[in-house]
Amino acid sequence: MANRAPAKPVIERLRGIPSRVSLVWLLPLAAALFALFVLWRAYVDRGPLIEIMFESAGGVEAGETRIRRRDVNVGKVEAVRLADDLNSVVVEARLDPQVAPYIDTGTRFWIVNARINTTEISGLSTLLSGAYIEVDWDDQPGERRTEFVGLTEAPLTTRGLPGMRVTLDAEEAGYIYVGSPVFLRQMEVGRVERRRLSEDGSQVLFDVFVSAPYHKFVFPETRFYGVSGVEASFGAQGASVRVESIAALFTGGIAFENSETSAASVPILKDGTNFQLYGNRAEALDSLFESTEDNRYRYIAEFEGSVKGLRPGAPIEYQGLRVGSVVEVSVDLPDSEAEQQRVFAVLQFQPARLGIAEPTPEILQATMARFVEKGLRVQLASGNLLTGSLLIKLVEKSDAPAASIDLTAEPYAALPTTPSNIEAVTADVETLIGNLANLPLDSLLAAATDLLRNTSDIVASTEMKGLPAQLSASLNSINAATNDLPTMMKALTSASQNADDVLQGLSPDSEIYIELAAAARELRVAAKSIAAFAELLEENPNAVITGR
Amino acid sequence: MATSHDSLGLTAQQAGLARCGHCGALHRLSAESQCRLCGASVRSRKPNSLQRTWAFLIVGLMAYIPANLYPIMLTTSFSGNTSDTILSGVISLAQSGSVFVALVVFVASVVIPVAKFVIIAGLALSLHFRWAMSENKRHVLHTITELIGRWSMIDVFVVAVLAALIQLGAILTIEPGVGINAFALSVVFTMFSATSLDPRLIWDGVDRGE
Repeated sequence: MANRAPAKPVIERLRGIPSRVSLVWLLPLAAALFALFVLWRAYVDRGPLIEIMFESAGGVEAGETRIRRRDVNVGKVEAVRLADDLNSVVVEARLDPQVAPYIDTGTRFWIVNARINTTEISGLSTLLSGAYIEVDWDDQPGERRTEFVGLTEAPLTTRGLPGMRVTLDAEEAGYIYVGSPVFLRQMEVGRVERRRLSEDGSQVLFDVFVSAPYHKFVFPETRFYGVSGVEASFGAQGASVRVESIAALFTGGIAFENSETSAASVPILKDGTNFQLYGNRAEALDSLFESTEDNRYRYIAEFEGSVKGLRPGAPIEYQGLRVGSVVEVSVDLPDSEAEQQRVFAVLQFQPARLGIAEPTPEILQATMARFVEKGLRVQLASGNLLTGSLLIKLVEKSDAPAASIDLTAEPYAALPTTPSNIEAVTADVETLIGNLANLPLDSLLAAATDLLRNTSDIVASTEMKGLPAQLSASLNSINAATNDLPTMMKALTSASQNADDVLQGLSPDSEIYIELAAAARELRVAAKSIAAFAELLEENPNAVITGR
Repeated sequence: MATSHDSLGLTAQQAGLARCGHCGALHRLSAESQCRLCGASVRSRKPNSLQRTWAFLIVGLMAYIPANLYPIMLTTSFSGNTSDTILSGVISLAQSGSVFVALVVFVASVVIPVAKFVIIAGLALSLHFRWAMSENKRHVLHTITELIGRWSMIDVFVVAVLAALIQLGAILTIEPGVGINAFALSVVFTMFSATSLDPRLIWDGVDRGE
């Protein structure tokens, strides 16, 4: 150990100003500044907080679920809670400040989940990523709102998609659902967006979106009709089958069609028009003849006797051409003894179809009067023997007793009628039935009855009754026999073995040897066939009863 | 204090001596000097020890707030996304039955850091206001904070390893959250804070923290 004093360190420099405050304090200062900056930016950058009401949260999670528009995140759900009345869910979401101006009254929100049904498979990505909320707004900034009611289902078309929305009124909803396609000439041009009852419950309303550029094919005269895959109808014109599309086969759909005249018409192009939705194409086309709003071209025709089979919409034919249709079939019961009951059909004529270029009721009436004078009569005719539907024919009967249009009739002027030849047909049918009646049915029936009786005797006999028991007994014994088969085979095999053993001790020349050898052979064959039989039984137990 | 000094004898500072903090060579004390062997500066006490301690401690504390508020781990899987903060992770671990693991995580990421904050702050305060406390105990406490401080990094490593290993695409993916960065910063700065505190100040008894 050296006792030497420690060396004096080299003095480099003296500290000029003893620092009272260390530079290290810059560090917490910087951290504090950074924290403040982060807080400030978070405050400045945060967008509006909105509340959306949903019926159910459906996979929406606080802090997780995004709000998206065209697959781009524009916000995030911050909280999910029950509404104050506990009947709905309130989702609080923070939107990006960039989109804030567009969050106005027209904004719609809905939850996107995986959807698999007959019309679409969508949102499969949400199976992995979880649900998200889709938002849709128009491109016009508007007055800001913070409370929204979410849609229960995704709208099929987003705002700003070019096209047109129309409302269709129908009697029944039929097979048309939300999302069902809309066809024009069997091309899909739109979708059913909503299906609801009218306020008084008397009609079903469909909100339909027809996308551009096809919406310019919707004219005031356009007829919409339902298509439900295969459409088969029996009418006065016979049976017809029409298939709109395979997709519509499962989901139903709506089609629309224009008559030739509408080409000259002006397309509607703006939302909100109401149309009648016809049940099928035939009805829609018929409706072109009806022009229900114009009842000036209506007449009635009174018939004697039944008009069973004459339905509204039935055609009116003149020389095989359709000139109108039946609007209504009514009966007037007499008020007093003096009056007679009246059965009449209201006929709607299409003057254009009668060759009247610029029709007025007067011209039509004059034409009608002229024709009636010449012998024009209204006649019921059988449209379709199979369905029994009737149609109205305008026939010319020169030998008919003179008649004229009864202008006093109510509710419209009455055209003279002539008895139909349906009666003749009916007579024919009666003859046919008469002939059928004359067939020797009685003896045939007697013979058949005899046969039946004999058969029942046989069945009822005691022997037959014993048969099932016997059958089951024999089945049982067959079973037992089958169980014994292996033992039997063993026995046979050992017998044949024994025989062989015996043979070995005998001279091959002796008679007994030959006989025994034959016996042994037969034993083997027997064993083999039993084996085969057993196998067959195992494969096909019926063989006992039915044979091979 | 005088009694303890008497029993301990002279300190190096009182004797006018200082040891190079780097290579250990003994020097005569002067205001400012360099080690003649290794060139490191030779100081009797760490300069601005208490100030540094406080500064680092404050940064550590500041970082500890977001470390607890923000998620430390983001798990993406079939069943959805989950993000765990330190405490929610501990709770979910405990609820799923891994009480031991939950305890380890809780100790490593809550008990130890908080204990360190308290101990360091207590030591610094006791030095500043010269509280009458056993120097021996204070020294032991300081040694403990230096020793256990690093174990808080266990949490950071767990997240780092999980995030590196579990990248199974859509099936299961783990990503580190913002919170774990803040937590790591907090641990690092508390470690700085602990090392900045010169334990010799405990024995000086008269030092002003300068």
